[in-house]
Amino acid sequence: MRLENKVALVTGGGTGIGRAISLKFASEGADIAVSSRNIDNLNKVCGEIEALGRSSLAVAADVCKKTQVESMVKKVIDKFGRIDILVNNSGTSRMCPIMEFTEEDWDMVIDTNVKGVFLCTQAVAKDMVKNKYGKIINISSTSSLGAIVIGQSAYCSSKFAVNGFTKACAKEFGPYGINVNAIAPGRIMTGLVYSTRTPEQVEEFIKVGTESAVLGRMGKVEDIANLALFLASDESSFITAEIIASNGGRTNLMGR
Amino acid sequence: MILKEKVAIVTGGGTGIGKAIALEMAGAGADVAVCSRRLSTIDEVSQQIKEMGRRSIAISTDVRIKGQVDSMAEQVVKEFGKIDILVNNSGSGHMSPILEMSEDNWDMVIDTNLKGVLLCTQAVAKYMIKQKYGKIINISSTCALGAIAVGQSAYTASKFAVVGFTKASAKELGPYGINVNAIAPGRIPTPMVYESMTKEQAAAFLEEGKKSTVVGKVGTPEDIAHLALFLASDDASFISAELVASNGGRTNLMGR
Repeated sequence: MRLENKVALVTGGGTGIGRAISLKFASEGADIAVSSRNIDNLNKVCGEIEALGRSSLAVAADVCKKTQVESMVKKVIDKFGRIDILVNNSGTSRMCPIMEFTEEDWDMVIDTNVKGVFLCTQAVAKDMVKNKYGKIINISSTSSLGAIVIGQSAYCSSKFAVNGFTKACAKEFGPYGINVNAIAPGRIMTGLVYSTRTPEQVEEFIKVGTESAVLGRMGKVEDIANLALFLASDESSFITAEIIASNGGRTNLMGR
Repeated sequence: MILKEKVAIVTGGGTGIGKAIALEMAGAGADVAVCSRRLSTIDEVSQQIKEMGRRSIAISTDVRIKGQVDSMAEQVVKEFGKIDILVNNSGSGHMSPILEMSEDNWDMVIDTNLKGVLLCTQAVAKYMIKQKYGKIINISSTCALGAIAVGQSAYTASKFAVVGFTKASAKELGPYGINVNAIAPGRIPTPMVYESMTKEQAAAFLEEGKKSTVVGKVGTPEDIAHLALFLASDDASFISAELVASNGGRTNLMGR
């Protein structure tokens, strides 16, 4: 029980990677609050968490809205007393060539993926600083290591920003016993992949993802959940400000 | 005269690094449009360029506002017939600890430093694509290599994002003969440094900057201008999607 009695908040926890992380943490003894904009998905996940014998809370919230984020954090603390672990996993993507990107779509991606991380971190860290303990895990992307697909300029920029913010947070919160790291997942089949691509683009996504990984396979949501568990546990206490890739050893990356 | 007959736009061109770049490019033969929100400063620089025997216009522009950016690009093309070089240098350096950062301040930094780069790139690349030639240089920061100061979380996130956008732009615009690179300046005494910090903070910031380089000194705006000139020239034709640091070999950086 590597997270015995810990309290975790997972944004975007209703589906995909967020759901896998929530269930993994619960199976290791943590109580879980899940949030997203889709309460039906959240309620389903909460049912699964309770079936594992842990407590859960579903909070509908848009991470782009400061008041909703603050209200979400208050609800979690009201129920559980504190927050030990924050997983900033809420994310979105819009595929569009740079020259055709509308400001609206651009804002949507940057607000969800970057501002959402800022607002959630600010709201939760206030509590973690009081307790002098915390683990913050930001979900970035292998595109932030240079593996960029045409049409992903906003998504890619946002994930680079998440890396930078991760390091800045690690620096500012380190003195308070708070570890802040990011995970750069490789190509993993989730709802987000299907919802942002045409069937042809999905096929291409799978082909390139498989061929470019030295392990010759796409990732699974459990791959990311396992890493998140390690970073959420006290076994990783000396690790902070790190961007750790779980991407099958994807080659041809330009680290800078 | 390695920029003979070239036309360059430099945003944030009225002071500091932008001013040094604008003057250096003019000195190398380019006609230069200087843009920022501070008309008095860009008028002055524009005047200096004319005295060097080159053509120049000063355009008051807020890079966060699409209408103003589009109009700026139009004006430059109207005046000079084309745009060969775009230096995305406009930046905001507002400092604030994460827990105290207001949404307004966050937005100001992200909008100026990241969205400004998107909007200017979109507006200018339109013309570069038609002529199948262009050089785009984005001013990032050594904080994007991991050298982060407390209070710079928004700035850091934005400068990481600029690197990501640089690579994405390089990938998408490469087929059109357009090179896109970023410069990561080290610590350099510029008006932005003094405007975003107290006198004591600025002194400590620059002192720490001096000590952490292998050359034992802070940089000058001209150091950055020399690099920008090289990247703007055809000598650098095989370089794209690169982040080049000019920071005195600052040590202890974490590239990821």
